[in-house]
Amino acid sequence: MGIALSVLVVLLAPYAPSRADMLPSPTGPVLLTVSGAVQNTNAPGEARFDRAMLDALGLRELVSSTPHTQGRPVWRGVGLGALLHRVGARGERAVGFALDGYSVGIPMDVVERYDPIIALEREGKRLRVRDGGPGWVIFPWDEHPEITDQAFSGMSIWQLERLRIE
Amino acid sequence: MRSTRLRWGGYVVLLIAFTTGSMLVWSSIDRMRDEVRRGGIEINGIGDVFWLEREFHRLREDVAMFGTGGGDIGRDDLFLRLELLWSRCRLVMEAQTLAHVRADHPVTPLARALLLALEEVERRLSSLDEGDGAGAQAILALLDPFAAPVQQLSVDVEALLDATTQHLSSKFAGLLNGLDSLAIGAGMASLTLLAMFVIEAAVARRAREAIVERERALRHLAYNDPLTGLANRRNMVEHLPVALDRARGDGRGVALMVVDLDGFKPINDNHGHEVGDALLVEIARRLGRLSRPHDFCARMGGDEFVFVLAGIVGESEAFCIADRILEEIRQPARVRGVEASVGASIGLALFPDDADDADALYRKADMALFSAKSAGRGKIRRYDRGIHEGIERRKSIEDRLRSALAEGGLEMFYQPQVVLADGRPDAVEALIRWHDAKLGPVAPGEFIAIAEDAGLIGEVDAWVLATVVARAARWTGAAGQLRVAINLSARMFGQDDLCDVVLGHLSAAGMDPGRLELEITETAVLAHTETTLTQLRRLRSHGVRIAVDDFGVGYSSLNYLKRLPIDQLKIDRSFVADIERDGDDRAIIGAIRSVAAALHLDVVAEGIETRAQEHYLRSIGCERGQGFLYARPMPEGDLLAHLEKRASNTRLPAAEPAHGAFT
Repeated sequence: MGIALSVLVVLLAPYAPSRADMLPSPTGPVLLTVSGAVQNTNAPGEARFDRAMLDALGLRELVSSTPHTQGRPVWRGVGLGALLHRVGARGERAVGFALDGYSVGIPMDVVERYDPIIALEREGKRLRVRDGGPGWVIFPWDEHPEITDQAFSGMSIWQLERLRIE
Repeated sequence: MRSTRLRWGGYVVLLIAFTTGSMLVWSSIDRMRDEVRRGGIEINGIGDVFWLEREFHRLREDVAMFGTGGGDIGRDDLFLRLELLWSRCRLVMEAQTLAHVRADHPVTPLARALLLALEEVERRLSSLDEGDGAGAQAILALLDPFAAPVQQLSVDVEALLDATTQHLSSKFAGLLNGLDSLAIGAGMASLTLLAMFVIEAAVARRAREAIVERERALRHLAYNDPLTGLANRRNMVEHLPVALDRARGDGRGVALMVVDLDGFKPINDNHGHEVGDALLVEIARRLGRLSRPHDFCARMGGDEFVFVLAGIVGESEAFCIADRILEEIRQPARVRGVEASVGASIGLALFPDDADDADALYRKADMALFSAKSAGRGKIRRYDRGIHEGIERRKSIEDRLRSALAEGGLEMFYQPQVVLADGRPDAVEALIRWHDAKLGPVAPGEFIAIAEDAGLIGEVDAWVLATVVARAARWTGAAGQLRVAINLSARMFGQDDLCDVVLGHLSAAGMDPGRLELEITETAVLAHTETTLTQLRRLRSHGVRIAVDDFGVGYSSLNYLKRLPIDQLKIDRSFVADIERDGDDRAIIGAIRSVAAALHLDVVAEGIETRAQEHYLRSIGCERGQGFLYARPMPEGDLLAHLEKRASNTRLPAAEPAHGAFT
């Protein structure tokens, strides 16, 4: 009986959500909601993030010019890939929705290859809605000269509030 | 060579042209692609201007709605709208994608002014209550001045959008055309390469075929006789061992025949090589026709052919085939307007009976041919031991004769001819003698024939003529009055400088031409040519006498004799020998005598050995004779002694005949 249970546990282990996968519930204002084909949720069918939770994923800096800005600002935010991994996204693309009603799909392989961030800060200052916040998808344009086309400028969605994994 | 360079030059030029063209097209496509991408970004940027107008109106609408208090718009919504419009203002001022719009339109001043207005709007929104129509109107009044410029900006950028779109679509068309050109260029280059491969393959194939053909031709040239197309000597030499190996394998026989044409040389001499060659071609054609599938026929050179007959059962079959070959060759041929007729002699050797290997087989067939030739023309001989020995003897005679000619091994004997009435010698016949240290005495009949076959006869003739004339010219006394008869070969009589040569010797030696008599055989006369007759006439005109030797054994007609420039007939010894027994011979001698009398020719009888023969000859009026009854042939010294002795005693009885000596 004991042995059988052990075997069952071993067999099921890869599918069982580990403790680290358990998403805590947001305590502050929700900045970003991930819905659709996600495994780790903290609300019915979706994962909601406040700033503290996003900070907990680890923020990183990215210095890059963008089609929509001047100069080479210092962007700081959470990796889109890291976020999707955190929620256990299982889909082919992430569709971003902005506060102004704009939406765009970002293929998973683009996320994997270019590792964009969802910038939360520009030049050390929190992005307000009027600055393109709360989240602004920034690609490392300067590292990849080949992505200077309109598809990427379209995928660089700002005022991002929601992602749906499809 | 030249065409190869030209062709490759063509390929290279075409490929460079297509490649260069494609690269040019490609770089233009690359430029256009770049433009299209930039154009796309511009269009995107232009879109942002419309978003600005949209957010502007949405803020106005929401503020108005909030002022009426009738909608579900909250204060937060108003702030969100404000934020969004704010961000749009910032964007149109900042975005790189709108740089070109900002360059042509007063975007930045407008956005900056709008932002200033929005700061005021933001302040007032904080104190605006739902349903406060006046407050809302005040805010809207702040925004109103921007409605027209924002709309104008949209209209302007719409025009820009159209232009950009149009520009882009033309670029797209160019792009497509470029792609078409690229495809065509690539296609042409591929076709060129393909054509190159096909052409080069064909050329290489042709070159290979040409080489094969040339090799074949060279091989044919190396292994075939160019004149007749038959296999050549080399071919035969390589083929024969193979044929023998095969025959060894299946235990059957092989017959090797060496065929040599008789009477071909005169045709070549008299009608020219053209006719001779044509005749050879004709004969080769006939021989080729006779060959069975496994037979092999080659021309060894000159007028000699070889047959290798495989699967021969025995000698009789080989002889049968040889007979047919002779028969075919004997058929007269008409070549180049000349009726030519030749015969052939065939030497035959059988494998494995006569020889076990190719070399020996060929050598033995060749010996058999030699024997066939020696036995007269038109014969077929198979090799046997006797042939071998005969040939060995001929070979050694030939070798020794050469050294005898070079080292002075030959000598002249002289036999007196006498006037039958009183036995007085009035002439001598010079006879060649050869006593070889190794071979012993060799009969003239034997070595002269060999000399003729070996091509030495000219030298022998020259030696005889020179020796006899030189010696006889020195004779004095009774000997100095004697005529000297010389036997020359038929070949010598065919020479067109015979007269000059003879007169040259006579004058060099200081001898009276009237003392010289040349003996020519009846057969040599019969085979005469105009050349011979001319030479004989010239010699006679200088006083040289001409005698026909061995007369009676040939077939001369009276009419024919009449035309010959001759002085004397010599009755052949064979008739004289049987005078006492054979009535026919007596009749012939009588007839010869009559003919000679009719033509005013002298007659001399050869080989008189008895008084009875002498008696008969005198009775029919034959004036002169020669034979053992009077004197044997003797060396010069003996002759001179003999003559001297006879002169001192004119009544000296004649010597008894000596038996078994040379005749």
